[in-house]
Amino acid sequence: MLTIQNLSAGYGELEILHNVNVKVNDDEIVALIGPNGAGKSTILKSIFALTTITHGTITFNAEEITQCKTHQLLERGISYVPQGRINFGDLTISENLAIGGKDIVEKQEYSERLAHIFTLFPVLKTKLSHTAFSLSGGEQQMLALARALMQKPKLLLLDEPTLGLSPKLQKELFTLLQHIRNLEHVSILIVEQNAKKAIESADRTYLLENGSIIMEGGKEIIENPKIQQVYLGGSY
Amino acid sequence: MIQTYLIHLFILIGIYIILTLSLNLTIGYSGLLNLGHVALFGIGAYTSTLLVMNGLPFLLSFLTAGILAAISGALLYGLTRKLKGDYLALATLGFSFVIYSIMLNWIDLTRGPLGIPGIPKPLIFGLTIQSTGVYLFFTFIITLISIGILTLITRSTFGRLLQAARDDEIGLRVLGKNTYALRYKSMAIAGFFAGIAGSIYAHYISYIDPSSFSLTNLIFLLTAVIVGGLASVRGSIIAPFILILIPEALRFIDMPSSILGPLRQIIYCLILLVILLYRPRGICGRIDLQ
Repeated sequence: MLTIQNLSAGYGELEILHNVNVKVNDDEIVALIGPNGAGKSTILKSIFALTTITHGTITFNAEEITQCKTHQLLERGISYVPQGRINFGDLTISENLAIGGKDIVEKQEYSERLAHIFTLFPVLKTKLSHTAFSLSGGEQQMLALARALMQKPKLLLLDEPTLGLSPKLQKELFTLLQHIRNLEHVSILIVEQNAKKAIESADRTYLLENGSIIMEGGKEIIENPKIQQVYLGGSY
Repeated sequence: MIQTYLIHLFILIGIYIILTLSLNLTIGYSGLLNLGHVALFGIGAYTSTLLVMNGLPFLLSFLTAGILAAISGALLYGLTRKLKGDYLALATLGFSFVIYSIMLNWIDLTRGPLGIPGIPKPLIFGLTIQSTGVYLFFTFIITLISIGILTLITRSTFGRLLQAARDDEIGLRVLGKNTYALRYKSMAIAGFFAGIAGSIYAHYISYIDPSSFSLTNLIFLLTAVIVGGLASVRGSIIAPFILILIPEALRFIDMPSSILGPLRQIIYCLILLVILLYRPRGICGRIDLQ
């Protein structure tokens, strides 16, 4: 579905990613893990045309999207949830969702979409007229996810959705992501700090260090000595 | 006598409601700390005055004043769109000073510090608005229309997107919305209303000079927006009443005028202080000052 080939990208003169190759297949959850500053978020931003790409190509469903503008990416079915539970705090939940689904012209389709979203996130339905600001951390993350799903994406890019959530909520979120993947047939590319949880939940994982991918594999890489050493404290 | 005086106050209140509300569209709803509003007000006043005095019909000049101020507003945003917060405030304040200097120094056009006296009363459909009563009616109608349009704008999808861009610009951009385009429009709309307010003001007072569009007036407008509350239409309607009427009460106290002027300033400061201390969101504001 998504193929990143020999990508080098960064911010202005500063190159962060060097020759990165990443692939996401249909209905797959792929995790990007690595230490701070490795370039995990930069990969997502590069897909979403928020960085300077110096080399390489990004293709989505056999179509090159390297030069696409943000709104063209959305039209092709890629949604991005940036880091930090980005919500429009002073708007209500229903207004937040409406912004996500603004391009749905048909009223019928919009309400169907909304109804469907509420089956995934029942808690949002009970607080429609509350402002986003008044929600708890976990609920805010759900709102950000729900808003992205309003656009009916084929590929969802998530930047550290578990940031600042309690371990229990983190676990629930991963379960929810798998549920969404199965139900919506959406591929998910997720950047995650919690390496163990990410490897366990994802179908495949890439390990990034200093802007290059140094390891790739399925759930079995959790046994890898390097991963154990660096990310799981060696005592897993 | 008292009647004329009251009419005078209400005309001023009407003009300031349009100004406060349009400034609130940029500061409160769009999150742009725009200090160039008073310059747009001045551009409107001078445009309308100069056009009418050169023989153009009032209604055409009135609209041109709005349009020219709208273009200036969009231009101002174009020049400052990469700036945020304090930097944006300073740059737009600079714009106010530049326009003020132009009014002061382009003597051939504006007569500089001498100002332009004898601005004719508006002539609409062959009728001249001579009496202040009719002028109040005219101001009232324009104010009502402005409130209506601005209320609709703030409640529309466009208004919601503006607020979303204020709360989180990146968040809105990753949803595929062009935040620059949104803010261009917001500044242009605010500019238009500042421009027509300028036109109403000039033809009512019948004399304009650069000092009417100086920093003092800008501070008054900002105070009105803050006292009324950011992102609140109701607040921006109430605040001009409070800020214009309360100091006017001083006129009826027997006091030398040398004390009266400073006292008026003290009252503005007190109102602002009390609001900031005890009601930081203003009378009806929905968002915090940042």
